[in-house]
Amino acid sequence: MRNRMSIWIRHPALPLMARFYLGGVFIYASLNKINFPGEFSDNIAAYLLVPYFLVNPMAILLPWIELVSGVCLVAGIRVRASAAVICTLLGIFTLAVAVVLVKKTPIDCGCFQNVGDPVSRITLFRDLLWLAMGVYVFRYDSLIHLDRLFMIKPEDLNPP
Amino acid sequence: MTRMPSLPHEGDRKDYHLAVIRETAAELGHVRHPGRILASFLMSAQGGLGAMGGFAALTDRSSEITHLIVRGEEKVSREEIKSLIKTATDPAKAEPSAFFISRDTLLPGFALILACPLEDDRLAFLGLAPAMHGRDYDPNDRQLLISLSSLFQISLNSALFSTRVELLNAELEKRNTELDRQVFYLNGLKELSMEAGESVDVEKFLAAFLPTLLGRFSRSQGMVVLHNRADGAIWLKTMGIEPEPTPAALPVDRLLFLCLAGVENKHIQPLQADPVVQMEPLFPLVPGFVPESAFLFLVKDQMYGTVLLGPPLEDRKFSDPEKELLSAFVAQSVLHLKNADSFAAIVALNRNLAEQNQALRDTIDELTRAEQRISVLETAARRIARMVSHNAERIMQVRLLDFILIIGISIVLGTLFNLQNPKGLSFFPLPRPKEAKTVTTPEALRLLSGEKALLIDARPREFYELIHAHGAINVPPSLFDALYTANFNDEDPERPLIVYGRTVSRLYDEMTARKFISRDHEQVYLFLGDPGNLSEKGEAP
Repeated sequence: MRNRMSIWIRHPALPLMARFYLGGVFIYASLNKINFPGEFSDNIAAYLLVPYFLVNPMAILLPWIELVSGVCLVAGIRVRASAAVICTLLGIFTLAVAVVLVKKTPIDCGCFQNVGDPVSRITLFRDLLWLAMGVYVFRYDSLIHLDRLFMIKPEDLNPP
Repeated sequence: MTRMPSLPHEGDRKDYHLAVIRETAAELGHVRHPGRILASFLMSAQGGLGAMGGFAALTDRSSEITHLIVRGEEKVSREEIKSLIKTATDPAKAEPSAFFISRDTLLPGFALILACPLEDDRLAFLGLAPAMHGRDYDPNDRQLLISLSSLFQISLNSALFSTRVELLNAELEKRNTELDRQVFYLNGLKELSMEAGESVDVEKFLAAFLPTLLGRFSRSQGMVVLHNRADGAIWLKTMGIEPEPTPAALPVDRLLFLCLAGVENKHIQPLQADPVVQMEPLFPLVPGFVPESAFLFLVKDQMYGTVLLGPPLEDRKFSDPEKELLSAFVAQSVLHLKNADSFAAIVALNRNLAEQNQALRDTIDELTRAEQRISVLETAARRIARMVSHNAERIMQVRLLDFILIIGISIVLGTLFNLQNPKGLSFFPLPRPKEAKTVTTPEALRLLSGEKALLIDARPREFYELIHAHGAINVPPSLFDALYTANFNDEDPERPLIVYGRTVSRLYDEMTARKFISRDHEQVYLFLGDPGNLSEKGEAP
């Protein structure tokens, strides 16, 4: 059973699907933030975790980091680095959400929309799930990497 | 020869007989020819005994009469002597000394016949007619004849030996001559073999062979033709033939066919020279050349040849040994031709082998170079593989550069987009507005109580609802325009406004103060202290 589970986990199709899903989520999440950077900066400021002089740079750049990482994940370009970036972002988000939940600050999550998505335990659980998926992609993903598609593979050379 | 005189008494007669014997011995001592010995013997006997006539005959071992001498009037034929031989044969075998034929078998006209056995079963006969004095021959006469016969036997045996020796010498000389000729031929064969040993080329061998053959066997004309039917090659050598035939003009196939038709054994064995028996069909083939003898030979499969020899210079017939030697000479030459051909084949094979060796060496050199090139290429391939493998591993690894690229691209895109976005933000917070003055808590209390100043909480509604200063109005910057329109259009711009509310992440008070100033409010104050101190109830925001 455990062996079969291990085979399922190691199957290359599964991390590929997780990769596409995670990349799609981040691309989708970044689009609204890119379009409305002011509102996103308000969301960041509401967390009361970032110094005020860093809020605007974060509001401008963070969505683009999400978008670039998501695109790289979907396209298979520097997948592990992208997954690492996304895992880092998700770690920060999870930590911020946890702090907000502890402090019981009544704010919106700001994950996808600027309003109407209050921070909750579901938010925390969802972030943790995505973080696990990111780690899974980082560890096991091996299929359809655009940056390896036109590269000579070491196994093709068969060095003696 | 002593004539028999009249004898006065017996003693004189014996002296006379001794004298006859002495004279006969002296005479026979110089005579070696059997015929003359017979004649001397007959004359001595006839004279010593006074016979009127007589005969002497000599037979060979086959009882044939070889010599016959007859003197006097009595006649004797060879047939009569042959009959005597039959009579005397048996006694002659039994008794080696001379003996008289019995009276019963005497020939007519003869009173006494003496038979003398000789060496080699020969017989000599002496027949005497009656004596002239008319009386019969007495024992003394017979004794004289016996004595003379001893001399006669010795002389005749000696003469026969001499004759035999001469004959043997003549035969020996003839054989010596024959042997010399054979030695001459064999020397020629030896010389040819030596020349053939030095020249291993077919062309050179034929050039040496034909003069040697013609010289040794006394021929002025000769021709040798060799035809390899496998490749069509023809070798032709001639001597003494005018006009000299050429390979193109000579019907070689027809010549060889006629030679084959002329030999007795049609199944020609390799390395044998078969003499051509029927020479006539060959006569018209070569103009100016009428061959006297010819040999057909087979060097190897598909390689035929023929030797044609003209008539000998000497006007004599060749003996059988000479013909055999000629045949052996030609056969030996065929063997040399075979050797020359084999040597040519070996030379060709060696040349081919040398070429193949050279090609093999070239191939080995090329393979060595190719191996070196392959080794270099393999080394390069290993390096490339290591490099690719290393790069692949690097690609699979997470590098700092990847993060820099992702972050850098995001910064560039975000910055560019923000610059182009009408709703874009400024990277850095705006400076505090100069028109907005900060107030301390006593000053704020004075303004609130003395000048009826408005207390404004600039934080978001969620924070305002949690806690705020007493009497404070919530005007967050995000909702300023709507709230201002609803609540502050009729407000006196000169009324003092005390704005508070900032967090670690956002300076809401400055943002709202900047918006009031933009609406021409002249007295906008920022309160940086604890808002709870402004409340009568002491509520802290």
